[in-house]
Amino acid sequence: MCDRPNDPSIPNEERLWRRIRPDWVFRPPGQAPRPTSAAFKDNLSGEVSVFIASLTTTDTLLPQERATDSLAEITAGLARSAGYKVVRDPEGGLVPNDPSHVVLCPPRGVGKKRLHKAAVTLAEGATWVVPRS
Amino acid sequence: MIAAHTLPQPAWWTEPPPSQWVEVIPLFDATERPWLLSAANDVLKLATLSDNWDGEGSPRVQPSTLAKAVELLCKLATAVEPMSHVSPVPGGGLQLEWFLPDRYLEIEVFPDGSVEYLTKRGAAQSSEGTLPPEDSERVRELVAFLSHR
Repeated sequence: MCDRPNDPSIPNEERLWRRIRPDWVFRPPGQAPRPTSAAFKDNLSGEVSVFIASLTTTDTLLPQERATDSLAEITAGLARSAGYKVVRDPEGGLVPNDPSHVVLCPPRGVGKKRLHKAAVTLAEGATWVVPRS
Repeated sequence: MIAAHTLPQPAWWTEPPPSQWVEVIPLFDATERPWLLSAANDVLKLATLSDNWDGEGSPRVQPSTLAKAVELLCKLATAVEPMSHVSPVPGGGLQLEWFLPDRYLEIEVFPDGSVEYLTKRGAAQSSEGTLPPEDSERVRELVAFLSHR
């Protein structure tokens, strides 16, 4: 579990992008598709991998082999309001020393489980950057 | 809808067998709840995911997790509202979801077989908890949550 502190140098207004697999998109008939909360969970580490929008591009995050993935956006402030710490993680990005890579760490004392409400908050607050039909 | 069976008697058993049922097994009844078969099928499609299905090292969804999810669907089969969506969860496990106009139910099956749920009504009212397999009362509450507007 993430023991690193929240990084205050990432402002609440910072836009964070999350890659969304097709399995994580609910498509209600006649309505706009929406990401499910599963997209904002991780049962291995509890950390959710996102990228600072201003430090990356859609093409970088959605290369050809990710052609069916969508891209959703949340803000650092939304993640913090849901209880997550927002932490820079350049070594965990797509390439070594990736300054755009950030992880959302669950609140201290909260295990990998019991994050349902926080994940739902992120899913409901997410907007599409690159939606796929 | 349901069937019962008794444990087989060992060869040395001489007393009359017990008269009471020892286990109740819910069976599929696709004519009563047509969504159930479709939902179970959607769950079983996750069996096609391989290791690293998300490109971030997630393990495949274990057969025991799929079986647990289908078992849960059977228990919830009397609910009126059909399941909306099933997703694999990064890191292992899966979740079942019901998106309804005024309420939301999420049930997550973890790789260790444990189950948790979240109910949400409107924007603010939500509750979450564990769903132990023997907790039939909680299952009834979730069925009621799904069925009562």
